[in-house]
Amino acid sequence: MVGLVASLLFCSSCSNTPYPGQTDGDDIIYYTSFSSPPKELDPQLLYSQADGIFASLAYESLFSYHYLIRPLQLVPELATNIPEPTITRTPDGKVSEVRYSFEIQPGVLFADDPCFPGGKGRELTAKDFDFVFKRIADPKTNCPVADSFKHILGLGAYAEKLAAMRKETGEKKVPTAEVDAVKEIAQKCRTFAELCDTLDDQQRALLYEDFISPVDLYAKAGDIEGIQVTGKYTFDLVMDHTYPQILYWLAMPFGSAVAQEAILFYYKGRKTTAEAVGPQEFKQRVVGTGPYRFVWEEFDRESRIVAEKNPTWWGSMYPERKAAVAHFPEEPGEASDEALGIWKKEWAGMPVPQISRVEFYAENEALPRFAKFVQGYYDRSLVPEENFDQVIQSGDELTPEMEDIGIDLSKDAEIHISYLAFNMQDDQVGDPVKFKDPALEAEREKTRERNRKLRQALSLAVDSQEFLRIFYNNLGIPAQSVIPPGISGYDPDYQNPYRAWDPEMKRAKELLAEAGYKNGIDPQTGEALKLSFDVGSASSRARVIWNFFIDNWKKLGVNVEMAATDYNKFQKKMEEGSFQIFYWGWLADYPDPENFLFLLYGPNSGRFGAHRPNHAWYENAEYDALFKRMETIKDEESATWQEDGKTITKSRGEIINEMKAILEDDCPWIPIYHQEDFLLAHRWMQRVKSHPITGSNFRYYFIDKPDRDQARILWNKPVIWPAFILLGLLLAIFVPATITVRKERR
Amino acid sequence: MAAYIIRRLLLGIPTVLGVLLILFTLFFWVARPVDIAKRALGEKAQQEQIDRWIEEHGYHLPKFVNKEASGLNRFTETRFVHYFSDMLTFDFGRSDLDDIPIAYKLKKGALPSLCLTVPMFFVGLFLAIALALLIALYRGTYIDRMSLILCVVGMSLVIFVYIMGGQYLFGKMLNWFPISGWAANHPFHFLALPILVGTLAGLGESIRFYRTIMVNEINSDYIRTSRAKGVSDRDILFKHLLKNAMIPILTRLVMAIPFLFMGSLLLESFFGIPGLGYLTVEAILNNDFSTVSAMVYISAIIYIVANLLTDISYTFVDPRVRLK
Repeated sequence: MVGLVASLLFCSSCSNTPYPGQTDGDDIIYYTSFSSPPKELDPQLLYSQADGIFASLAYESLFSYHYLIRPLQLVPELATNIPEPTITRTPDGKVSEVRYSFEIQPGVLFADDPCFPGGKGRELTAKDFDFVFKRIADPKTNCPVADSFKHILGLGAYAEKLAAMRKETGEKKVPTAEVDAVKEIAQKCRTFAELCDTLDDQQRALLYEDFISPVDLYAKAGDIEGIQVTGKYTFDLVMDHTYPQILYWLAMPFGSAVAQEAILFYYKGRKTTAEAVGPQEFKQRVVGTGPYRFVWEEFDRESRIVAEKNPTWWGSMYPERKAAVAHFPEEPGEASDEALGIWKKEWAGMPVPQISRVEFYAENEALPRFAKFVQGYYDRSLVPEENFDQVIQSGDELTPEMEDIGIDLSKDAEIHISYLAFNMQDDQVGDPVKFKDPALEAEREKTRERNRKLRQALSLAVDSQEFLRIFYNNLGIPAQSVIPPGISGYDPDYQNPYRAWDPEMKRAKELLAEAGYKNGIDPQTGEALKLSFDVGSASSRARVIWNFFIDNWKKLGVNVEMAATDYNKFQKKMEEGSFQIFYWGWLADYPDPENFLFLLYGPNSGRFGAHRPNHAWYENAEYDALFKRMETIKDEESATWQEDGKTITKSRGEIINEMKAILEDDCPWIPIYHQEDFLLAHRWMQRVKSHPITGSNFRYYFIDKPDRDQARILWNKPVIWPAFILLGLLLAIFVPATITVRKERR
Repeated sequence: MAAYIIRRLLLGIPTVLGVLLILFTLFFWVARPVDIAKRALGEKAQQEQIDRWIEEHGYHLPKFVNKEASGLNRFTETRFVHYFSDMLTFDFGRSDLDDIPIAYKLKKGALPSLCLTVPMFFVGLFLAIALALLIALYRGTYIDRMSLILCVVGMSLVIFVYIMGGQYLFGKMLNWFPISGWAANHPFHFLALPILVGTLAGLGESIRFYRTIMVNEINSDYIRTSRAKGVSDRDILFKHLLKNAMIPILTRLVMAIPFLFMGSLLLESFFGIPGLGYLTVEAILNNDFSTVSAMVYISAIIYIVANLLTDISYTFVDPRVRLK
């Protein structure tokens, strides 16, 4: 046993470092972890925060967000500026054309990669963005937000055209053996240029499954009407209506610049070989223009992923441009930034990135991940639920143990909401277009009022604060409306009268009685009113969490039964509208209230087709009209319209408040909470400010390397004395035993 | 013996087909292709994407009868026949989770798994037999009684206690080993702790098992005779006792072979070793049906082969055993 421990200690060099044989040298390395390997790194496809962290290192969009300013503010990234739209109106004043003219940074290079001639990245031009929009439109790309880009003139029609053309070319059946033979030849090509030289266009097209390369297909299909390339670095985006949120969509990964060469070279099915280093399919192969590039020689998606500074990044090559994304902000974003040490004068305008390498290590389990953070091997961490008491005391303070090692605590508020919602097309709880039961339809107004009061009563019965205390260590903000903090329209002082918790539930009981369910008794059955509650997980933990609401409603005398199914079945129920109450959440795509208010916009209701975001199937003509007005203006703008012969002008804020008031009264949702997380960072981490939209802002971070090195040595000295105790213990057991046995034998 | 081996291999065919049938029923009857596709593509997936994904993975075919096909194709162009033919030719296709070929994943995961399980297997075996012999030698003494208590305690603890306790004690408190991680160029730096934890976790039960066998043998007439003839303790233990105890030992050993190949689900997962066990856990957690199905199928085949090897190995250690 001692031999075993000794030899294993020898194997581990008696050291707990997870980075054996590695010396940082002059590199400033940011050490972090990932819990599951990246699945989808194609920027036009990825819709997961976890994958987005990897992709955002190397891909860039036209816009990004200011690192420090809150509420979030767009800044140009690949674009030279944020364009103002040119609006053309018809003689009667209606908007006929909205045109955004974009200019992209000259001299932007794609990172070096074998897909380019000579392995050297080429310059990004406006045509690349034209290609990006065509890719988004292409139904085969499966861009999950393609519908949102259909605000662009002709993008929807272009998608239909591609589908029709592909149907035509897809009918040309090529024997599989022929396709395989071409793929085998292609596999041997080490560069895209070699691939083009070896295979003719027709052969090459066989690599792309529908027997035409996407580039050729797009060329044949022509242009999207609303995307007009006007110069090498300029293009126009045209819409026939105002939709300011389009700029936010262009700041998302979907709008990232990709190279045609990479898409054509890293076709689906291309294999990794000894010569072809790194992943060989585009969904894993990142070829972007960003400040970092992946080190493919060290890429192991299951255990370690490394990105290093991109030596040809435009931000470093052209510091004189003073681009917002290439320098640490000149000014603090908020008053507290300087006090918190996030912004200092000496850092202002400093070129970024300062971190030369970002190393991601696979960590499947929260406990080892957190233990390594405490040992100084990871630079930042969330607080795992299991370690909460070890880290946090008195609700939001660090424990002395954590303070002693110089850990900083910050709160990260997500732009998020978790909510309970009613099926507004349901006879019992909703406000349907038409009640299924003719008797109810006959007394339509009475029934609508009954259901509204029932919803209000159920809303009053839910105690969000207690919910957060029990299940989330008090992390989170009890929600009062649809709009979360961090975006315009959120008012921290706003109190929804139907979300005011009263332990006696006096008002809730009154409302329930007014609805005709005194003490929760359904007069038709003489028993407790029975409702169903759909949830998207059948796990025991999830059941415990969601039972909280059922217990709340039980206090009113209402009997709510949980229907726990797996997530797919749950989604199907939502699409079909076969539910009464459900629990779900929403995380912002971009920081605009429209991204939340659209969840209750009538035309987005599931009643009008599958995959609509209005899962409550809520429809209110007044709300919808206000939404249309709010959607087309910016925060600081006002909308003007005619009503009953009068001209009405209202600011966006006023419109949003009116919408909130409608929702308050109709109560299609019970807003539960807005998520928050505690973030921990070691004392050597500098310039760190959490960002609710962009997951990775590594470029702005700085690490005090000597401090980290010293701390790691100090905190991780092997403790040897227990080994001697173990040895002594074993001797103490076996020596007397051996003596006794020998004596007996003799 | 050749006839026996051939017969056993032929008998393995219905077992493999049975396993495939169960897998087919579980994965394609209980779970609908549309559900699998939605899990893979996420909640934002559009119907068109789902349809294409289903087609790409061959889940679009009808289960047993293809009404759109004609002739024999009515039955061959079905999911049932495709699934069976693919699995029997070891064409596992692509992962439902990330579309990466499963064969590539298996190839990549095999080495880390073997690096963990083979040393753990041999170290555990050596230690368990050595300690069992020692305890058998000291039977009836306080060492025997103490070892009984320790072994029962060891057997009663679930592996999570060993894993978390090991990580906490050796990784966090004593700083002897890294808590978790993996580097292909320094595998044993990371494998030391999981090997230690895995060995310790299995030791209690193994020692009790081997000790029982040894004590049974030690009370046999031939041992008494050897002692009477003045054979040394060492020769009795290693030349006579161990050889005669080989049948149960071999049974246990050969049956552990599948575990060597399939990796250790929990150890790999907790220690972040990207082996086949980790792959299986990931596949289960992410509803990656095609990978889970391939792993179950491979383990079934390895079990069949291991069973056969067990029987064959008996003939080598016990001349009385003949395979007919």
